[in-house]
Amino acid sequence: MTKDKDYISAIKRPGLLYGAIVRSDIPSGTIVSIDLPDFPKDIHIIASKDIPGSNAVKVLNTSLPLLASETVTYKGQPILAVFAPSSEAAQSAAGYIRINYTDTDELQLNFKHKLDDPDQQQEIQSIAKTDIPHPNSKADEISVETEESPDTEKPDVPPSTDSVSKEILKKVIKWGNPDKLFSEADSIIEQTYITGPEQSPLTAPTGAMAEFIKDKLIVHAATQWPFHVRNVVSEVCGVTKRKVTVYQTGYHPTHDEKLIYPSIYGALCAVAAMQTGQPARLISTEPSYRPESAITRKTAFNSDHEPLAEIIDIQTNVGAYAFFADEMIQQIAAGAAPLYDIEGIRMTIRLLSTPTPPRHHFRGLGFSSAMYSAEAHASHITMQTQSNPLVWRLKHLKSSKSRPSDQTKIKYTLLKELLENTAQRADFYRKHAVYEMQRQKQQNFSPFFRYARGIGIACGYGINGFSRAFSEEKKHSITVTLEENNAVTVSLSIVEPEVEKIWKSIISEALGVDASLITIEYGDTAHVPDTGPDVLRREIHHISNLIDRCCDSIKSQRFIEPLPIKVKRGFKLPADSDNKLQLFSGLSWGSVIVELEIDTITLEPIIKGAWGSFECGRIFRPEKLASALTKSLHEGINRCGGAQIRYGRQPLIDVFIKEVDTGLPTSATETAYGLIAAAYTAAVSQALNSQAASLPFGPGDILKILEHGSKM
Amino acid sequence: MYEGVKAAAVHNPSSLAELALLRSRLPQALLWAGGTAIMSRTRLYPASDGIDIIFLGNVQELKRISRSERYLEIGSQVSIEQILKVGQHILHPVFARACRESGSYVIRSQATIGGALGIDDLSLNVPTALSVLDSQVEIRNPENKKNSSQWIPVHRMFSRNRERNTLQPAIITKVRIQLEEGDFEFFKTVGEPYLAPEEAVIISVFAKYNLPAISEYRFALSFPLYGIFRSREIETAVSSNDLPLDQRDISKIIKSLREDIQESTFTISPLQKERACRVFEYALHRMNSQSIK
Amino acid sequence: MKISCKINGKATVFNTYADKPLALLLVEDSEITSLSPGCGKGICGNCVVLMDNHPVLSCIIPAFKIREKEITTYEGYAKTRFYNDVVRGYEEAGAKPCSYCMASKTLLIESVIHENSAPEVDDILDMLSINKCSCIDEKDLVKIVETAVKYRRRRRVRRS
Repeated sequence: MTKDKDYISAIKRPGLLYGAIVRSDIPSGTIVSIDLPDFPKDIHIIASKDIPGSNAVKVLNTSLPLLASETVTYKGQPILAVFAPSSEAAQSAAGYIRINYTDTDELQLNFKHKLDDPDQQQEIQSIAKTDIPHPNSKADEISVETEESPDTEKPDVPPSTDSVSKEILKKVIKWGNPDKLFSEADSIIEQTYITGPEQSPLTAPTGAMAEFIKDKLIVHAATQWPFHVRNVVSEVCGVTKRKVTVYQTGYHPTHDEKLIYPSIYGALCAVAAMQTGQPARLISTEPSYRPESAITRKTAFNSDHEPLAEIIDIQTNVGAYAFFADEMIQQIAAGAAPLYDIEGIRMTIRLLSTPTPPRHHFRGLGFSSAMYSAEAHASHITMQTQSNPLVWRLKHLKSSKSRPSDQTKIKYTLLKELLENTAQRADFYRKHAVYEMQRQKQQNFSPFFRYARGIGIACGYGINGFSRAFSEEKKHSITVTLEENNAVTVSLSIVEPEVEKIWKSIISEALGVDASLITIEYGDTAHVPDTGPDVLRREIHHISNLIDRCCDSIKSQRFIEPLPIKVKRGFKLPADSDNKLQLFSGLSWGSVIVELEIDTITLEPIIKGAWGSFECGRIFRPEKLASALTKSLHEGINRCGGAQIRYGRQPLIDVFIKEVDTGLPTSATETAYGLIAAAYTAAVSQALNSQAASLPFGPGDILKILEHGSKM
Repeated sequence: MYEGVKAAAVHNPSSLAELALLRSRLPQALLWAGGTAIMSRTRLYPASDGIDIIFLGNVQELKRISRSERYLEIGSQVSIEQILKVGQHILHPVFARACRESGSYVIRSQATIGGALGIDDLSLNVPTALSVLDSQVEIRNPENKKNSSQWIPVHRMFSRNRERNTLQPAIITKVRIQLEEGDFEFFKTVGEPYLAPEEAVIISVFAKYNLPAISEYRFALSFPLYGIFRSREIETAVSSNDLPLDQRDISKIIKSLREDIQESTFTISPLQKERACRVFEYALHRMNSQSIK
Repeated sequence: MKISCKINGKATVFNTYADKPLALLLVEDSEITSLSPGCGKGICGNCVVLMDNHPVLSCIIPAFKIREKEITTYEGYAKTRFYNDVVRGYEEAGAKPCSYCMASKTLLIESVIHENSAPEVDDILDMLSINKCSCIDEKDLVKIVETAVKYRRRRRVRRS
């Protein structure tokens, strides 16, 4: 078993082969030929034709080629793998290989909804309609149409390269009669919110190592999803799953980039190990990448400036291949739904594929981008109507009946408490009033008069893992075994070494067993339960609950059943009639305020302070949670586009945690991460007296606004 | 044809004479000072070039710091951190700040003043600061038959078009900085010159005044990917005014600066141009406020 | 090229390419397991080792520069008595780096203490700023270092 601290780079073997990947340097085209020099025998090349099993990496009902054979569908797509006795030899050999393509013109990606080009519209292909029933729809209130393009019925066929972007999935959610309400509207406020593309070079290495021992493939991988690695290796190598064991090494999934790619590297290493008889390792430090998403929101108001209806158009670029497409639609729909009261809504969500790398998830499947647009739009409305954003939000937070897309019940009292708590700590009312005065005076943005400040607020919730609509059967489960010598073994498939102490103390207290007799096992697919993609639930809370339940069950069987007693428990939602329609369980509500100042020389937004109040479930280590929330806020701020936070210029970050133990897992860190962008945007908009509507939003965007004049 | 990994050959001269001889034999060899820029930007490993590398770190004559009444002389292989430590009481504030903002302690301990001046494709803090001080660089050119050294002003390391003049195959051996006191010194980096050079601007200003007259005004604006911008006309426009500068005069000077940058051969981004004008104006305001204290 | 040096006190000879980065040398050609280099360009700051007791980013140190030098990695440092001062700093501050940056941050903290017996906040942050992982708050970091300095001083007094 791999030690928790060992990273993939630490896994070494005698005779190890080092891998390098030859990638496409065009976004789209056909491979005509590959020029391979005469390599010496110790350099091993793997092309698609050399794959013994299936040349495919399946992710639920989507599939992408392991190695491109004839068609290239994105820049950077793997075409060949090279393995050699040293990393230098592998890299050097890869450099000698020439790929010859046709269709080498650089394609103009027309997915553009940039601030400087607001009129450009995305062309949408007409698609065949296939009805997919929405599990949570109330037939008489909400209409939901989901349409799939023909190509998605054949998951092995890559998206067509005839058009630059192709719609692969569309969902329309409608409630009430928004068209009628718009026709009666007194005024309309419209804005498009764009997130991405973003690329982060600061990711820990992804990689895998494989060895073929006694007709079994042993794979070590820096992966969040070891069973996916196992399944892909099994299919690519043409061996049964029982012959593949995957060990999870230490990893640092900064942006959830270690879900799919480790499987690709693991499979390539496994093929090399099988074909050469030597262990093989491949490590890559590809930057994590998230393509753009554009959300256009149009809100109709009556003569009292009360919102009546909203039309929301969402287009998300998923890259060349869309993983978890259905779930992505669910999460985007949930995040995009406004929290304020309206009588009608029409939300159209389109997933578009383009010849760009498959997206990394950057914590979630589009929920936080969608929620950013919802909260940024609420702030935009308050700025247009010259209302106090906090007062307006408290006034218009929805009653429980009107959230059609996901049936999320707003905890009004809790949210009000969190909002007011944050506002009080941040001195929001006073600062907002002062900065509003400054905004309305439209001060000169000069290097002499250096005053351009803003304060923004956002509220909402974070989600944890997948929705109820997600049809994958396997859920996160663990096994606890009380052995004959009174030792206890816990098997689980997420690596959380820092929490071991807590889990051991829970078991020790429940079963009266000394902590030294408790062993936590993880990371090995031969011994731990398969959780499916539920591994995305990072929250340790629910593991702790599962441990509690296992211990309860063992206690009830102890002294009745012979030892060893082995109990397995999986995560499931409690049977709660209030929650049964809710798409997501274990929501964590929160509120965030950001205060910033725009440096009138560098044109960078500089964060003066960030305040957050969050609902959390059962808290085991308050100081750790506060630190994790602070880190989430830092990371969120650094992605917004202003001056980077680093040691020596950290702003004040103040976090308040409200423990509300519902028995459900929550994810306050996701809430923090999602809300910070909307609060930042509102603050920048106030400072600039012009709507900031894209993320990241940095100095270049500020300059454009200054050049074009403010638009408030 | 596959030729395998082409290993680089590293040469380790331990004296200036040995270095000069090596350089004359290998004029195309890569001169390796601290190596921070080479390892992080210029040359990815494994490189396919199999070139010669001349490591300068063991040449003792290049590691000396000496001081006279008029000058501070720093060997090209002295690290930035060492300069800050040794020269903490005598360095010009503008140069000290430029050195401190070169990077964290770890980077400053490895980067050298010679390396900072010798990077071909990036103009960062050190050359920008030295441009406005009366500083010179001693170079030895192995193509020069007498193999003697010559001193060139740092600001002349850039052409009239403000583009970087390549020093190949000459070696920078020393930097000499005149120990003159300024009445106003200013240094600021805008943006991230190393990580995002296409958006960053670096400014340094050195001025002397005898109130209310400005006797000398020198400035340098660095656009890292393109070079260092200086303008005698703008400097004259500033020094022809009395302190404190009137806002109308400042506006006129900024307008001229904008036009001058526009006419230069630098293809800088609009953001860089805006930042350059803003930080220049800010420096003028700072000089104003200091002069009235 | 043959390069002799010491790795954690052990005499080592590498037969390698002269310009191979030290980070790769340690990861590929030695028994070191604590290093997890990220960017390879001196940006992330997660490849710190000590070279003759001075902190360096191993990804931008070429092999030819380590000849006859003493390289100390986290494994080697963790066996020294000085390590305990830093550990106590973590314990008293109630904060410690995540597993990803633990090695680099610990060596940087040791470097602060080693270079300066009375570091100011600016000195601490200047040294630690090279590591971009934001798992520890600035205030906690300063507290960790100040505590470690306190214990190091006591150790020095005891020795003298």
